[in-house]
Amino acid sequence: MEEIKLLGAWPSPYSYRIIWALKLKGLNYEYIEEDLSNKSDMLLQHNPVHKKIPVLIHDGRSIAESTVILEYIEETWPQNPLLPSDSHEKAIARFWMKFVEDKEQEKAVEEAKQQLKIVEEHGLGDKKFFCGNNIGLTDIAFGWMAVWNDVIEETVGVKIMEANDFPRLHAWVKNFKEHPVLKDNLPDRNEMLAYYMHKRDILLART
Amino acid sequence: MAVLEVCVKAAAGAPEILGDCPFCQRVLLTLEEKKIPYKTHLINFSDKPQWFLEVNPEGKVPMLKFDEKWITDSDVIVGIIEEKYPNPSLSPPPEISSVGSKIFPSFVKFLKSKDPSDGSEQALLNELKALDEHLKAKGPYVAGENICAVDLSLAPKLYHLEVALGHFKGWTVPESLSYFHDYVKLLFSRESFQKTKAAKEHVIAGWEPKVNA
Repeated sequence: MEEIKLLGAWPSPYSYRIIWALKLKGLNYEYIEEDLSNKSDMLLQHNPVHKKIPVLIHDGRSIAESTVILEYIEETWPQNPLLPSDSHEKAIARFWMKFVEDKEQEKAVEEAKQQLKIVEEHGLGDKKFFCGNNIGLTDIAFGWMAVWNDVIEETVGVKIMEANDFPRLHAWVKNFKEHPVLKDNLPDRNEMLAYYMHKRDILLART
Repeated sequence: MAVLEVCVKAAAGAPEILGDCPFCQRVLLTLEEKKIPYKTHLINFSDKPQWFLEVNPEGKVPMLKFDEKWITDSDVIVGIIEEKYPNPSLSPPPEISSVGSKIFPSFVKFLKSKDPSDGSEQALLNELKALDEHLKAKGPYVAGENICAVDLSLAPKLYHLEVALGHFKGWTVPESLSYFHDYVKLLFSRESFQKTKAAKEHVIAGWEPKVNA
C-alpha cells in the first residue's frame, strides 16, 4: 500500500493546489500542517533547497514546487485525468499554468485588471473550465483566484475582479467552488479573512 | 504547575518597562483574564538577547513557551491558550470575529495622512460608527454580556488610536458615539487592562517615526 504525505500550510493557495489534485484523483494521503515560523525537521529534510511548502512525499521520496507536484500526480496516477490527452491542448493548458505562475505578483490595480482581462478573453473564453467541460490542472493552478482573491480584496479594500467586468471569470469561480469534489475542500472564508487581516495589522504596526 | 513564559516588547529606551506592542498586550490580557500564572521576558528591541534570537531568528513578539516549544504570532498563541485553558471561555461566536477589524488600518491611514481632504478621517469615522451601532444593538461587549477574544484584540488597538490621534492630531472620537465611549471605558477600566497597558509616552514614541516619515 503506497504512502502519500503532504506537507502544507492551511492559508496557502499552493498547498491547496495539491489537496485539490489529490482529492480529484481520489487518493488517500496524510496531511501534515507546517508552522512556517517554526519549520519542522521533516520539511527541512525533504525540501532542503527552498524549505517551502507544499512538499509531497510519496513512498519516502519527496517532490517540491506546486506545479511540478501537480505534473507528478498527473503522471503517477492516470485516473481522472487533469490534463487533456491531445498534445496541443495539453500545451495550451501548460501555457496558462505558466502564465499564472509568472503573473501573480501584479501590485498595481490597473495592471492586475489587464492581466485578468487577458485570462478572461484568451485563457477562459467561453469554456466552463480552462480545458473544456472538465476541471483540470490549469483550473487548480488558478484556484487562488476562486478563493483567495475576494478575501484579499476585502482585506486590502480594493476590488479588482468586478463581476460586471469579468463575467466569465465570475462564472468560472462559481463552477470551481461548486465542483462536487472541491466544494468540501475549500478553506474557511472567515478564518482566512481573520488571518489576512491580522497579518495586515501586524504590517501596519511595524512599517 | 509550570508557569507559562511569554516574551513581550520592552519600552524603547526603558528596557525594564513593558512596551507598547498591541499584539503583546493582547496575549497578556488573555492570560490575565483567564487568571493563568505567567512570567514575562521583556525584550529590548535595540539589544535583543542571544537566546531569544536563537529560538526566534526573526525576533518577533509576542512569543509564548508552551510544552517546551516557543510559539509566535498572537493569533496562534491566543488560540492555543483558549484550547488548553478553556475556562473562562473567551471564544467568540464566528459571526462577530470581524467586528471592528477595519478600525486599526483606517486609524493608521488617518494618523499618517498629511492631506485633510483625502477621506481617511471619514473612513475611520465610518468604521467607528459601525462599531458604535453594533454595540448599541448587541453590547456592552462585542459578543454581548461577556468579554471575549475579539474585545481583547481590539482593546490595545483602541488605546493606541486614542493616544496617538490625540497627541499627533489633537483628534478625539466624537462624543456622539456614546456606545463606543462606554465600551472603551469598560475595557480600559478592567484590571487586566490597567496591568498590561503601556505608558502613553511609549505609545507616542512608538508611532513618532511613522508619523513623521
